[in-house]
Amino acid sequence: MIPPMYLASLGAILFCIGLMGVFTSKHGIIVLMCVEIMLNAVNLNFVAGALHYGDVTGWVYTGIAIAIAAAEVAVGLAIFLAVFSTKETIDLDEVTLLKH
Amino acid sequence: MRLIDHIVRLMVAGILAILLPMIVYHSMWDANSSTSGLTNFEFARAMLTDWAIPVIILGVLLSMAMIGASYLVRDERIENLLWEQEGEK
Repeated sequence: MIPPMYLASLGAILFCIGLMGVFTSKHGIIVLMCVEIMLNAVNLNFVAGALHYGDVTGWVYTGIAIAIAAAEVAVGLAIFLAVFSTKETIDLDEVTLLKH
Repeated sequence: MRLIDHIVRLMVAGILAILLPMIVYHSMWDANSSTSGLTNFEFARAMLTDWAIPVIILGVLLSMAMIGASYLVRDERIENLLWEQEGEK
């Protein structure tokens, strides 16, 4: 069995990678993917806690987080498609529809 | 803009450099971890008994998200064409 400490460390590394992508990238899809990486990092921490304490609650929270992530990415991709059909771009600097 | 990107990258790397030793050397790992291995059966039983209501709510949320997403990406070309033709008449 993988030690939970390794899982938690991997979660921290993945979270920082996602954070870096969200802060530095301007492409909508890449930002969405980085948010997913951050969500999966949190899931890894839930799994590490569940393994360490021998409690099934962490797994249940992981399942819930995965389902919410699926819903979020479906709506996010749909929004990007709708924006692309009108603006011809999903560059986050150029999508300023809600400003006006 | 490039400078800000590099600053952000450095800051995130700094956060990681602080976070990793905090995780690795945390005192919670010193305590013996549970030896009882979790099984899929326990997980399924928990999902279907203790967590049944949240799972149902989650299913409704997922359905709403999928319906909303498919509504957002519906093809409006025919509707727009018909609307423009009616406007011309």
